[in-house]
Formats: sequence, structure tokens, C-alpha cells
Amino acid sequence: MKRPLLKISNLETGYDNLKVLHGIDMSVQEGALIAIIGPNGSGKSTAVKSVFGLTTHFKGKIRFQNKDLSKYKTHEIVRQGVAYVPQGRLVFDSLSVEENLDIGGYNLETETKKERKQRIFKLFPILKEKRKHQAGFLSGGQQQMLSIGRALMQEPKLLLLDEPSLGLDPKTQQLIFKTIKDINKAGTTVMMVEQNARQALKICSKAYIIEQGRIAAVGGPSLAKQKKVKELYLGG
Amino acid sequence: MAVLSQLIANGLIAGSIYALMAAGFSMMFSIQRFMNIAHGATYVVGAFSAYLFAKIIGWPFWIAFPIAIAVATLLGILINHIVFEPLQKEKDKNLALLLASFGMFLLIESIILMIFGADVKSFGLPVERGMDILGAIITPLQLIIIITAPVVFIGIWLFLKKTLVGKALRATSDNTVIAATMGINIRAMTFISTGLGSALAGLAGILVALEQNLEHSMGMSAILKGLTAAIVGGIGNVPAAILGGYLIGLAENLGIWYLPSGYKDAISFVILIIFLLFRPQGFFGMKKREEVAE
Amino acid sequence: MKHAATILVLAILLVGCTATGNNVNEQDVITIGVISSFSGEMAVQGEHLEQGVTLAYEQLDRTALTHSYRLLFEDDAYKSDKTAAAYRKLHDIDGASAIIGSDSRSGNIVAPIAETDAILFCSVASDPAVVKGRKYVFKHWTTPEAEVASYLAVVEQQGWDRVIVLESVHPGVEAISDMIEKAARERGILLERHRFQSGDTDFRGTLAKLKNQDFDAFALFLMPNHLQTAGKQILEFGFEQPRTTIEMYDFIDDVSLFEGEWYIAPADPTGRFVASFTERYGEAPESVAPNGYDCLNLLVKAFEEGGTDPDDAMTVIRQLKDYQGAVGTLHYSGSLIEGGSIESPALKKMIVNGKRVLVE
Repeated sequence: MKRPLLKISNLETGYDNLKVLHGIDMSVQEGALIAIIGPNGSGKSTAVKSVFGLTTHFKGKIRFQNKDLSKYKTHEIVRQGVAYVPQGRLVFDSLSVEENLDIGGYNLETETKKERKQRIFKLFPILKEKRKHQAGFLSGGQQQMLSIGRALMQEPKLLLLDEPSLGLDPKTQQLIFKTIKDINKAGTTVMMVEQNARQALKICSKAYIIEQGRIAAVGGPSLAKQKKVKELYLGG
Repeated sequence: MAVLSQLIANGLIAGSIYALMAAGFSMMFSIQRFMNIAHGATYVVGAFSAYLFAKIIGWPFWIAFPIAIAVATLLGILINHIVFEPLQKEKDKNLALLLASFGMFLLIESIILMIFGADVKSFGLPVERGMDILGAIITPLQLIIIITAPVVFIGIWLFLKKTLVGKALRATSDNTVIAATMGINIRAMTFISTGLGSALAGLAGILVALEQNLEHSMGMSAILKGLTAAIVGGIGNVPAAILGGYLIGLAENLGIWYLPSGYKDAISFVILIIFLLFRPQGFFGMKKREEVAE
Repeated sequence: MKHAATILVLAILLVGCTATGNNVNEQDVITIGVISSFSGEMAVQGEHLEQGVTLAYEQLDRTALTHSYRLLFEDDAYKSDKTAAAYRKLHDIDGASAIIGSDSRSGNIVAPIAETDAILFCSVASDPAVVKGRKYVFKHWTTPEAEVASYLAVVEQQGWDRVIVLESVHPGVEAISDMIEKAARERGILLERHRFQSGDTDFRGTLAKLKNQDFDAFALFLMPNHLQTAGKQILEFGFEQPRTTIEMYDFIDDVSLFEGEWYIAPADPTGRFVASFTERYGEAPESVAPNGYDCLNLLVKAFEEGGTDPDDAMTVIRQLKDYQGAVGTLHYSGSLIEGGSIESPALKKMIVNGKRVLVE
């Protein structure tokens, strides 16, 4: 079996003195689309944030392409090939759409940045239309597209998304999930935290269920057929 | 009419200085998120460095002043590195940082007093009769202040808007954590914002020292007005702070058209209180937008 | 953070232990305290007072003295709460029997408490309110009455009838301004007063309003930081009216900005004092230095001749006549109701070639 792109081993992490994850193991193969689902407060977002060093590390290892990510500062991790789409969009409100993308490609050469911006505009034509608009004035769905586009500027090997459908209407959610699937199909490994378990399980290749800071279940899309999963996360 | 022209001119002169202080303060606040009172000390150090190099040592102004600004810049960066950075890791850091910045302000003021003494100093520039411009009497030096400030602000605007580092500063100001995940070195951004902010304070100190005089205790009123202007304009937003500076300068001076001059400070602080009560985000600041689904 | 707190506490304890530790038998020693601003906007005044008092202390002929004397300085940074704290420290902890102060602001704070504690208090450069109705408090300065009379005499001589007063908000300044306004009114001279707070260094608004008005002169009753700026801005505006003052040109180093202007000043120090001061400090004495010198010597004289009882000591002060001080021949004047003063005359001076020259 090929070495996983991302391997999280016995990770205990949290915020300040509060431990949120109590020893989780995760393995992400290249090309996979991983979904992390679970109840509110279970530690799903913490798992994704920990990859970027945004949590307090107590124990365990996070290895990306066999490199120990704890050796890198947050701003150095993106150069390793990992990109992050945070929960709640969190675009840079006072910057324009185009400026947000420029920041997404912060470390890139000018020409490369230009090319990639064009690709993002092709993927999200509405962003091209609103390129000069201030990001803070976009709609929720447009901001989410911008947040994803910003992360894709790096053409990361691994794209981490934290609740990409949060606060969006059903039609926009569909669009976002389709886009994520297309990005994965194009070769980017994706790890996605999602409240919308039904949709997440539909498109993922593997899913982790986290409950109370521990892995409760691991499986493929067939997890959706399990009774407990159905009752707890799919509305019966 | 001549009185009105003069008061507007006076407002622009005062506003230019307030705007420089406010812009520097806001630039640092936008990244560091605490009230840096030591900003007033860099203003004083800028003034006294210029005095030392130009008046005491005798260097020409075009050498002395850039070096004085560099000294103020370096001081701001050093204070941040030695005092503020370690405190950023503390749990109750906001109070610790505020107190530390106030302590540094007092310390530097005392050092200036020890080195230069207490008496009021002056560059001793020949007194030039002012020119009559649209009914207002303005000296050449005052004109330089009125022109220099906007030129500097245009430079800042171009830097923030057109350069990648400027955009990175704005991004960091919006959200430090997400900026870091984009590959932006936050420590470097702090370094840059502190340096730029301190340079602006140093420049303001030099201009005031040239136009009026200098004394070791000149920093407190400068930081108070700068802070007021930054809050009134919209704290953490550099262009808003600049506009806030001019707003305060003009309000103070127009306000004393029929009031005694002694009410100037009161006018600024009443405006500050009104904004804190009714529009804390400032004149040009935006309230946090509520998320709206499509 | 914890280590820093520990070090801070240890430092405070160390300073506290060493600050008051001494081997002097306090029963033999008379402590004279000096309260002035050695930092802050009026630190120059503190510096001058310290020079004068220290010189007098160093020159005491200890072999001829009955008592030993200890001199202590406390900085009030020109802030009223610190003045009170300084007095309390000198009196309650250091056991001071006499205090020297440098201005009206601190004088008005210290005088009532010194009076209650029966502590002799020599307040230099102070207004009449400091000494009024007080037994143990006296001031040493040219009296404001003498200065006001001299000033208005010159104003009348010039034929002026409208003078614009630019004044700093300050108790001593206000006292002089009130006195001169009243006296001027009695002589039919109009004084129009404009007040400026300490941090306000922009006079252009007021000057703009005065630009087309008809008046004869400026009276600049301004603290040093105000004085330079106002003097300059008046010229920049193209005003040609004279810029006069009482005393204030003595408080700035460089008077060249006021070339050709006249002002009223307190008495000059004697040649003898100037010589010994210059030998000690390498510069000429300024403002309150000679008065501080005299205060120290007068207090020592009071304790030597009257003893440590404050009433007896004050009797010596009240009987003072033809005493050769640093500002000339001194005598005591006043009453218990009006308060006591060691008087010296007021002089008219002019700025000529950047120097202060006596006119009359």
C-alpha cells in the first residue's frame, strides 16, 4: 500500500489547556476525498486546524508527505502543499476579490499567479465578474467560492475545507459540493469537515466520524447505510 | 471671511499632524490589536533626534531628518521586539501590553529629559512672515506641512493598495490567523507595520518641532490626539484614521471661532465621547457584516 | 511574568531599605526639604532652584553652626497630587523642619499643611494667596504688586489703552493676571484676556480673530513652551504690536525671538552671588536660583538664632532687615493677615542683541 499523503497518529490536541481530541488516527491517501462528520463540538474542525498548527499540541504526530508538520510554523505549511478553506468563509473583507486571490498566491511568481487567477476565474466565472468588488460585500455563496479559489491558487496537494456548506442555501450548497468533487477529480486530495453528512457521504471516498474527540467510525460512503449513522446524522 | 480661512488653514495644519500620528497608530493597531501609548515616545524621539543631528551636530536638514526618522523607526521596532513580542504570549495580554507601552512611554520621556534637559528647545529657524493665501496667513513651513502629509498619505495608500506586502498587511489586519495560513509571516508583518507606524510618528515629531518647538513632554498630547483621531476615523483602518485626523483638526479650529481657544481639547474629547457612545466603529469604519445566505 | 514580579518586589524592598537608611542621629539634625518639579514641563525651574539651594548648603560654615543640617529634594513633577505626597514624605518620614518650594502651584498646596504642622515654608515665586493669613509661611520674590505697578507704569508711559493678554492656565499666572486686570481697570487701561491650556500650543486661531482689531500691545503671560510658540506665531502673522511680559523671558534660554521687547523682571542676583554660582556650575544663575539660595540661608539663620521652635524661628524671619542676600538687600514685609514676604524690587529690562539688559 502506498504511503498516505497525510497521516495523523494518536493526536491529542486542543486549545490552551483544554484537550479536544483524545488520540485520533487518520490516514489520507493521495487522490482521496475524505469527509469528517460528527456532532457539534466533537472536534471535527479541531482535526483540520491541527494540520495547520492552529491548535495546542499535546501528543501525537501529523505527517504530510512523510514530513513532520509540527516542525513548521503556520505560514510555512502552505509551502509544503497544504491549503485551507476556513469555516465561515473568512475572506479578507476589506480586500477586493482579485486581491484575495493575490494573497492566496502570496508566495508565487507574478506570471504563475496571473495564470492561476485565470484558472480560478474559469472555475468560478462570478468571481471574474466581481473581481474589483470588495470581498466583504459578496454574498455567502460568492464568498465561499472566493475562499475555495483563494486556497486553490497554491494548487495544493491537499485541500482542507471546514464546513464549506455552512450558512448557504441548498442550491448553492449543491454547487459547492459539485465543485469540491470536480477539484478532487482533477487530482487534488481533499479533506472536508461537514455538517451536511448526507451530501458529504455521497461524494466522499472515505469518511471519519468523530464523537467527543475520538474516532467513532471509519468507512466509505456505505456508512450512510448504517442504522446509527442514519439516526444520528442523516435524519433517520 | 479671513477668520474662517485662517481657521480652516489652522485646521489643516493641525489635522496633518494628527493624521500622521493617527495613521501610524492605526497601522500598528491593525496588526497588533492593542493601544500602543509608546507611539507618543517615538514622536518625541523623532523630534529630538532631528534636533540632535541638525542643531547640535550641525548636519544639513536633508541628512539629519531622514536619519532622525530612521532612529524613530528603529526605536519602535526595538520596543516591539524586546517588550511587546514576549507579552503577546501572555494570557491577559491586552492589559499587560497597554501598561508596558505606557511604561515605555514614561521611560523614554525620562531618558530624553535626562539627556536634553527640561527647557523648551527650538531649531531657531528665522521667523518668516506668513503669506496671504485666500485670506489665511500661512508660513512656508506650514505650507510644507500641509503638502507633506497628503504626499506621505498617497505613498502609504499606494503601498497598501498596489504592493503585495501592502496587501498582505491589509489581509493580516483583517484576519491574522487566516493570513498566516496563506503563507504570510505575521512576525514580518508586525515588524513592517511597527516600522512604518513609528516612521510616521517620527516625521510628525520633526514637523512639529520645526514649526513650533520641542520639549521632552510633548508626546502625551500628540498620542492623545492621534488616538482620538484614529478612533473617530475608524480604529485599525489607516485611511479612516487619516480622515479622522483632519476631521479633528478642523473641528477643533472651527469650533473655537466663537468659543475661547482654551476649549480646543475639550472639543476633541467631546467628539471622541460621542463617537464611542453612538458610533464606536468610527466615522468610516464598517460594522461587522452579518452573514446573509443567498 | 512571575519572575518579573518577584524581581520588581525585591527591587522595591531594596530601594525602600536603602532610601531612608542613614547613621545620622536625627535629634541633632535639622532637615530642610525642597519640593519642586525636577521632571515634567517645569523641570527647568526645579533645576534652577536645586542649583541655588545646593550652593547655599555647600557654602554653610559648619564650624560656626549650632545645629547640623540635612538637605533633601523631592520631585513633584509639577503635579499637585505629587506635591502633597512629597510634603508628607519630607515631614512624616524624613522629619523636615522646613520646606522650600518653587512656585505658586506647589505653594498653595504645601502652605496650608505646613501651617497646620507648624513647619517653616519659604515659597519662591509665589502669589499672595500662598502666604495670606499664615504664620509659618513666607515668600521670597519680587511682589506681584511691585511687578504690576512697574508694568502698568510703562504701559501708561507708552500711552497704551488696550492690551491683549495671552495667558497660560496656571494659578501663578492667573493671580498676576487678575491683579493686573484690576489695577489696569482703575487706570482706564483695557486688558483683554485669552487663556490657553497646557497642551494647546496653537495660538493661530486667536491671532486670526485679533488680526484686524485695534490694540496697542501683547502681554504674554505664558509658560515657556507657550511663550516661544506664541512669540513666533505673532511675528508670522505680521503683528507689529510689542510683545511684553512679566518675568517670563527669564524662564527661557534663548530670548533672541523677543529682540527689542521690554519686560518686567524680579531683581537681579548680586555680582558676588553670580561669581560664586558661575564658579560652581559654569553658567550664570537663572530665575529662582538666587531666591532658593536666599531661602536656605534664611531658614538656617532662623534656626540658628531662634532655635528649633517654629515660632521663635519665624520671629527671626519677621525681624529681617537689611539682610545681604543673593538678590540684594532684603527685608521682611507684611502682616499676619496679608502674609509675609521677603521683598526684592521689580526692574524693567529689554532684550538687546539676544541678552537681557537692565533698562531701569
